[in-house]
Amino acid sequence: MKLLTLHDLNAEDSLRFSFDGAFDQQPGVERELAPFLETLEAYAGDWMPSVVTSARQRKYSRSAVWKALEERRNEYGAVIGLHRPAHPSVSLTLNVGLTQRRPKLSVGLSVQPLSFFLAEERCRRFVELVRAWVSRYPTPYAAAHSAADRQLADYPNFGRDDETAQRDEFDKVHELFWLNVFGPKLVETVGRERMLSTPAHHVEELPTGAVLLVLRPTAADFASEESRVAQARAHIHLRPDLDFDTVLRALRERSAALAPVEPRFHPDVAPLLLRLPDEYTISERQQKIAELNAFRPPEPEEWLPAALPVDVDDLDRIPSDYEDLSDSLVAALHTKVPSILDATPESLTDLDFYFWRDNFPERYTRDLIDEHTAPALGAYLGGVLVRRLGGTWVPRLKLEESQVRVGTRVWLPFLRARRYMQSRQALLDYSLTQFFREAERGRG
Amino acid sequence: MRFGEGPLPWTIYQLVRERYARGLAFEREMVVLLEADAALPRAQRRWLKDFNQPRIETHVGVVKADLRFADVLVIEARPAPGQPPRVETFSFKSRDLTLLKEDALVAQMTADASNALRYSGGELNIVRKELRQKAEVQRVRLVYEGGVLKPRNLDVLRNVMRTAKEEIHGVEVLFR
Repeated sequence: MKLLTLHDLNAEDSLRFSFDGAFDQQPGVERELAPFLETLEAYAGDWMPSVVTSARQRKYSRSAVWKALEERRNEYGAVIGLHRPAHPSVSLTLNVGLTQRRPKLSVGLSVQPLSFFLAEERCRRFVELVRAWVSRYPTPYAAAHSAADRQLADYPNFGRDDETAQRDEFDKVHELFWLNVFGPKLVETVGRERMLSTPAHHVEELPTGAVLLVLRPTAADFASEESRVAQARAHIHLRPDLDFDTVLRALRERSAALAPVEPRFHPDVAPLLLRLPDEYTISERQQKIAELNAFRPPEPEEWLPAALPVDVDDLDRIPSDYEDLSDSLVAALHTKVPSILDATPESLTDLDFYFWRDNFPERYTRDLIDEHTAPALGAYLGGVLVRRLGGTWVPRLKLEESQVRVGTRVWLPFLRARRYMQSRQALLDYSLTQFFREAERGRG
Repeated sequence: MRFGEGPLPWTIYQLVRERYARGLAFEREMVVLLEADAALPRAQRRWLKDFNQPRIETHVGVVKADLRFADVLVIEARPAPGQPPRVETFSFKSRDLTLLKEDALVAQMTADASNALRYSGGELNIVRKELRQKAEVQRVRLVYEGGVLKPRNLDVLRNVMRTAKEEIHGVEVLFR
């Protein structure tokens, strides 16, 4: 059962909602938290979490929640997750602070995909859920919005450095999102009357003195021109010191940055490049796809039209030396890249991705790479050409001159591997994936 | 590819694995960074500005309830007369935090911060022979390797770091 990780949240946009609510420790955790769960059960409907996570996973029930809280409880509090594996995927993190310093209930909710909230009725129920939560656990500020757009807005710092943001917190209306809860203090900075007259889909005063403001009927169309105009208009209403055109221009830029870009990757490296966008934050995903669309790896040069003559005596021993070297790479990496054992073109793509994702050339020491990884990888790469393309080793004393004959060309896998391991960018410029493809084409 | 047919001799296998486990550059880079910081005039330092002359030691045995090793312990080499030397400690972690669920990230970070404080904060005894003394650690920092291991989602990460900071009073949590 696949539960949402932070990494998964980079792959597709979600609806993100978070808040810190006041939490009274006196009555005990179960009693104080029960209304939270009641509200969730009443309003979540078709995105209701089904799994409770702590050190273990349990099927959702009240008693599962209490058990999980008990398991994760330490001197500071307890943090647990409520999850839903699929469609939609949900990650709801509850952090109950149990110290005098931090009597808070911190809630972080992600529902993926965001398109799930195109339906007005679902959005309306979501608003009701938030209203009930923040009425029971008052918060100075809360917002629900596209996760990608929240990140582009630099939530919760809004352009401030971490220190300033932590000191000043939500001291003014820095941004306006799809759903906003302004606590009494924030309401005062704007003026209650002014805030209640904001042009928006729904503005409501809560019994706590907070104001609930919903910009539009649905959360998912936040990037449309109509939504952006409404967002800018409402924002400058709350912040008359801001200029409408400037605010709108910034919002349009955010919409442009999030507009889907179709992947059209260079075919020789496409299997590798297809896996890269998930590794960037959701807010830079489209821009990265555009960059990768433009990426053209240099044509492989690590081949010779005619082989250098064999300059070693003990020809029988040589292939076994290459195998030893290659096996030591398998020993080092097979837990990280299990497919390395298969020695197929897909294994090479998996290795490319692993080295790139881990930023291996820059995160591991140079002596390890130069003395072991690069030569061992050369031997492994040569071995794949031998095994999958019917190649034959043409050994040389110097490893980097060692060759594999495939068809009419001889290839230099050790040289390729050394170039490849120079930097993270070199992994893409000199990928194993592309090298294999080129050798395969030249097999003739 | 012989590996599929029969495993490597266990000793070779283990040697290679250990070599890769030790091959991470992060801790060494952090030490180089701290040494470079220590060499700067005090006013220009970023990490060690509360020392006159910081002495940087790695893998220093410290005892509270039991023996633990501080990744880096910095001690004042020129304390003011009559004053105990200032001591600060650093814990380094190379964890891939991106593959965690949000609740697990909070739990991991609070556990790391809480351990850093428990084992290398407060009053402790330095075991290393030439430094052997009772000391009060003034500042504890937990430094995670940043870059590719740092969660990309700053919205979530900042919230988690703020929580860890609020909960575990006395530890600074940073990414490098």
